Amino acid sequence: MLRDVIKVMVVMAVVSLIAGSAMAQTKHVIGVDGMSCPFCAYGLEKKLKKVKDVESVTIDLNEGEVVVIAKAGATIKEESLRKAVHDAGFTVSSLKQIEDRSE
Amino acid sequence: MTYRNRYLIGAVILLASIGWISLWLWFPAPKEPGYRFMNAWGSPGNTPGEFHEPIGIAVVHDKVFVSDAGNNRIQVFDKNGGFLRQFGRGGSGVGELDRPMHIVVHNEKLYVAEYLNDRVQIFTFDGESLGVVGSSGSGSGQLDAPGGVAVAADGRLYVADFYNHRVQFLSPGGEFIRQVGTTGDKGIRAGLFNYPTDVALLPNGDVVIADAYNDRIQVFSPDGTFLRKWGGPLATNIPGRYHGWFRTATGVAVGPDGNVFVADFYNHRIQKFTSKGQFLVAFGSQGNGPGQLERPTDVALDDEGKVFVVDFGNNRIQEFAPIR
Repeated sequence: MLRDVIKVMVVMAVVSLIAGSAMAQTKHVIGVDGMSCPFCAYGLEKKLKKVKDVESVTIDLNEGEVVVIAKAGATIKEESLRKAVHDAGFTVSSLKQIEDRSE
Repeated sequence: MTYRNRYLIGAVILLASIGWISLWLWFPAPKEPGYRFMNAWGSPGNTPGEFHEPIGIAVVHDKVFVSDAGNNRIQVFDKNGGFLRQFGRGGSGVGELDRPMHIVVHNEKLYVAEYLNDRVQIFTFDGESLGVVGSSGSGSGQLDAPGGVAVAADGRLYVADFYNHRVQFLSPGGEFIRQVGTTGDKGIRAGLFNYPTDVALLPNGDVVIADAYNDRIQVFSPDGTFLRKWGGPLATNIPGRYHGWFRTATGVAVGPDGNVFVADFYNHRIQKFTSKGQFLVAFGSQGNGPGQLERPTDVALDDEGKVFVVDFGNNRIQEFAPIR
């Protein structure tokens, strides 16, 4: 009986871990120099939205910061983000990745 | 007097003449009294009457239309800034918007250049979509980040095709007629562009283009013939803060008297010219007080000559009237 209970608990723990990682969405926060004109900033948004596995892009012109959220369970290559920023004519000043676990 | 002395004197006179002509041409004085602040409305946000990155403006009858790009909507106000209604939501479907930029009214319809949807969408004043023109790409009739649009009396469209470095002349249904600019190539020669953002039409139909990152205005006839350009010395992408110079001309409008108004983005001001490009007056300075501007993106006029400015960096609209 106790062994059955333990087996069930282990299975539930493994399922929770898998489900949790599948729902995790990675967030990349990119510092971008020189973003003050919307015509150019929206061009950066356009390029970033075309990067594989990007779900959303939010640009803060005042802070010079771009937040890119990956599709659930997907990983975006940092190099792809850097290239998109470069192709849009901007320079990356900082880039950090944050794991964001959804409920 | 020796020949050498004569040549020296001649050279000095010639240089002085060139200098004086250059001063007269490239550092003109104002020729009008200017404009005074009348009213301002708006603040940052996404509720009615608030803005998040407003870009374009159009004034018709007693209404002011504003493209609220960051909120992916069009807001409609009375001329005192009283909120009337809004329409649009983020997306790529019919009636949806993705970064609406410059807008224009023609025949009781609102034309909206949509930067991220690579199209021009047409609305009734109540926000009912009447269709779209354009699709993504660099071919004839295709668009890549359209920034602005003008509509001629016959319904022909002139679209500032930002990333394609051209302005396309399209039929009312969107069929390609011709273009000015070389697709994908930017340059400073007459007829080339460096990210054009907006288009307006003179009373005779000539096409006025905000050649934003060339810091100049270019004018063409409806058949695509280059007519003139202005903005700094020889209009060759030399930015500056002097009268008649630009630091990124993002928006252009033609007033009821046929004069040309330009939103001079990084100079935080509006400049007014004749249709031939002669500088008349400039107004605005950087700041967030009444009458000050922080990176204005667009300008529009009503039938009385009052000027409405999209004060992008301050997330508001400001109204100015001519000083008489």
